[in-house]
Formats: sequence, structure tokens, C-alpha cells
Amino acid sequence: MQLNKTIRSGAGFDVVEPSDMTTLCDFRDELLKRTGANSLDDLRGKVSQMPNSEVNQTMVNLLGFTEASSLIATAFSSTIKALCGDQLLLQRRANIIMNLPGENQRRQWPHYEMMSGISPTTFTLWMPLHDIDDDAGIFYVEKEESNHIMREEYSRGLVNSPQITELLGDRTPSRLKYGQAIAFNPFIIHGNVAFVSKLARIAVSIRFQSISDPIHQKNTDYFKSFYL
Amino acid sequence: MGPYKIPSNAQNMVMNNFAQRMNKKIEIVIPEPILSDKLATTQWLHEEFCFTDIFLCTIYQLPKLETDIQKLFENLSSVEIYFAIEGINGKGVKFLEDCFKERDLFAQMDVIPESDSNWPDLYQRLKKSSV
Repeated sequence: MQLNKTIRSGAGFDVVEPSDMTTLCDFRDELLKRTGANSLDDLRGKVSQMPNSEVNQTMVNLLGFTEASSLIATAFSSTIKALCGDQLLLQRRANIIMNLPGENQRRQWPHYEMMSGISPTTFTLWMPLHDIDDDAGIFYVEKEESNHIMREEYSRGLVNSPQITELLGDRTPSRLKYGQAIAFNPFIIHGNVAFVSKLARIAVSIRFQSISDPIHQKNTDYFKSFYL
Repeated sequence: MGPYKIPSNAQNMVMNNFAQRMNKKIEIVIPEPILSDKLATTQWLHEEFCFTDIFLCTIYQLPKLETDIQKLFENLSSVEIYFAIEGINGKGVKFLEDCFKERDLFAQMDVIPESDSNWPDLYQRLKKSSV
């Protein structure tokens, strides 16, 4: 109840933990198998040496890991049920995101998930696959400020424009332990910053909504029905 | 095709790309007529060519009439069928039944109308959902 309130009408995001760690480990093991890595740090080390094109190709290849979103949803079933119940539309292909350390490697400008055409009641779960104890993570902007920036941008004619970075200023990414995830609503601005490390940051995200809620621009191309 | 309006050349690109990712090579391209979801031409040609794999754009291409659905089960349940936009493939009656169910589920879902699709209005929908 409290989580639902926090994410829909409170801060707009919260740190959550898995209800099924075994399934989370199954996901991680399958990811390592598909990438030919011995461990997460092995994978992070390999990725950190890749050119951007190879990183992109690696992420594209992982789109074939079609069970990924179901595994993550199952691992975080308590969170998802609290937000949306047990009858869902679930993102078909989980995003497995690999960020390289160093300047000019930020892969994603600050944005709202809403920009992709998901519905206003589609929620996102973002989880790093290892501890984040530096600036490799994501920063989140609380609901009131995100809403204020959104309205300011809207008045200027384009939401999620390049001007969003000047409106945001400097932000500090959250620190997280492996197993922790952030759940957030689609109007929360979030993004990352350049970070210093020998290893790449690897994370997974999924989006989901209740089957009872209306959809927006995303349809069968993006979602599948899924029952917890 | 359902909510998707895709020019035919773009449909070809989508299906060809998916076939490539599935390590398949397209041998025959079948134009189905407008104003029909029977996949009649495909089934007719299957009698002659005995396809092993058929690529379609989306599950929204599947027929809606029960008689047409039953024909599909009879004629194509031994063929591996690929749906490029959804990125799924399978064969058999069970697989096809699941695809029909999924298509019907999405087809009856409420869709936020374009008239409500500006950022402040969309935000209001989230706010109302928390009441």
C-alpha cells in the first residue's frame, strides 16, 4: 500500500528488494552463459574494453534473452503486485544496459520514461547487476521537481528537449547494493553521469502495467500479457 | 494490421530483418490482398510448396472469424510461424491459440486517445490513478 502511494503520488520512486532471490540469481546465471563470461566482474571487465559499437551489438544480441523480463518480474513479484496487481502487461524484451566508464560515455540523456510512449500508469524497475558504490548509477528527480521541469519544458514547446540538462544542473547518482532496484513512475526524470571505474556498469530494466489500465502508444510490439 | 499502419515495403524490411536474425532465408514472398485476414493465398500456396516456416508481420494479421481460424489450425499447424513485430515464433494449435488470445486481449484494451495525449493531461491520468 505504502509503496503504491510513494510511487504514484509521493516521491515517485523508491528502492525495492526482490521477493525471490533465487530467480534473480537464475537470471544472472543465464546472462553470464549468454555472454560467455565467468562472473559479473569478468563481464564488466570485458565490456569496459569494447568499442561502443561492440557494446551496442552485445546489448542487441541480448534481446534474444526473451525470458529475461519474466524472470525479473518474478523476482520482484511483491513490488509489482503492490503497484499493479498480478495481471500485467510486461515489457517483452528487458533492457540490459551496459555503460562504459569515462567522459563522453554517458549513453542516455536525462529523460522521462513517458517519452517512449508507454502509458502514464506503466512503471519501471531498474536494477544494477552488481553493487554500485560510485557514480555509475542513476540519479532520480523527485516528483514535484520533475513535474515542475516538465511544465517548464512544455511551456517552451518540447518536453525532454536538450534544455532538460540545463534545467537539472548537477545530480548525484544513487548508491545501491546488488539485489536492490529502483521502482519509479514514468514522469520521474532520471539519468546518469560520467563515472570513473575500471569496470563497466551493467543493469537491467523492465516496464509493466496492470492489464486493466489503458495502453498508450506501445502495443504488442512492446508488451506481452504476464500473470504473476 | 490492428493498430499498426505499415507500408508494404516496410513490412518486408521488418520480416526480412527478423528472418535474418532467426538465421532463415526467405524464398517466397506472398502478397495477401487488402480487406482480408484469411491468409488464404498463403494457405493455398502451402498446399503446393509445403512451407516449413512462414513469417508474418504481427499477430494482428491473424483471422478473426472462427471458420477462418479453424482452417488455419487445419492447414498451418505443422508450420513454424514467426511474428516479426512481437518477436515470437512457434508451431502447433496451442501456439496459435495463445497468439489468438494475445491478439484478442490487446485488441479489446482501452487506448488513451490522441486528444488526451499531451504531457500535462497524461500526468493527470497518473495522479487520478492514485486516488
